Amino acid sequence: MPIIINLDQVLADRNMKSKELAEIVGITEANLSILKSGKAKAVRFSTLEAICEALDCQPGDILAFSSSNSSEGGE
Amino acid sequence: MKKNTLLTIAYFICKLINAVILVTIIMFTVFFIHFQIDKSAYQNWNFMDKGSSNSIISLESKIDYSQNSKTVSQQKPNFLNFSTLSLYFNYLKFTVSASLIFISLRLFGKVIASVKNRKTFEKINAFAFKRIGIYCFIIGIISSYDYYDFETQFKLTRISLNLTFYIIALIALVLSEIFKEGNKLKLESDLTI
Repeated sequence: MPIIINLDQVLADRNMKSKELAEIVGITEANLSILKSGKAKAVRFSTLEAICEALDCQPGDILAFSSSNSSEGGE
Repeated sequence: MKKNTLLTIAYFICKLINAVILVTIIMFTVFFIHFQIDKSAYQNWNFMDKGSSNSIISLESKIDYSQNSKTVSQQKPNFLNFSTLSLYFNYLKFTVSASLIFISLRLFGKVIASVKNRKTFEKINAFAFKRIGIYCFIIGIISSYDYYDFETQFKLTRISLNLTFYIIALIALVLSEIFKEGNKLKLESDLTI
């Protein structure tokens, strides 16, 4: 998948744990784990908004596009 | 009527029909064994051909042995003259068809149970419909051939095309594809955060 999730990096910068973020955003830890591992097929705007608000960041800080991964992923 | 009430009724009907089929198979097997031990007990049983009224095409071959002897021609064909080959063929035809209907209904019952438990678009349901489709297709093929041989009376061979089971098979296979597509959508939905 050419979209890379930098959530771990942003969480480390903010010194916040996944569990805390999941609680603030209102999603399960399992779903947050799916998002972090890049297995997620889509992210709702409402979830993205909540994450950005919780981490005080921009969507671009969490999501990045890498053209080198596009040929590998396939999906 | 609530969704669950309808599903419960459908599930109950499936179970009921399955029980009837199971009992019928057992009874038929008992008759099959007993017939070979004591044929004379069935001398008053007369053969009734259901014909091919439900078929769209029917090819029939009837050899009447009684034409040569006038004394036998007055009698209705009874099971005393039923040939062993014809007996085994009809027993196998019935048990295989009934068993396949039994398995298909069981699978359908499982699908209903999964819908009741809100697990509708599972891969297993798509696979169940595919199996039901294949089984119905086999039943359609099996039921298209009739063979009755009453030695000294007549021999009837018929090939008929009854579309009922083929239509059910087609519907089941289409449902299988729908459930497969539903499963894909469900997976995508599950992976949407």
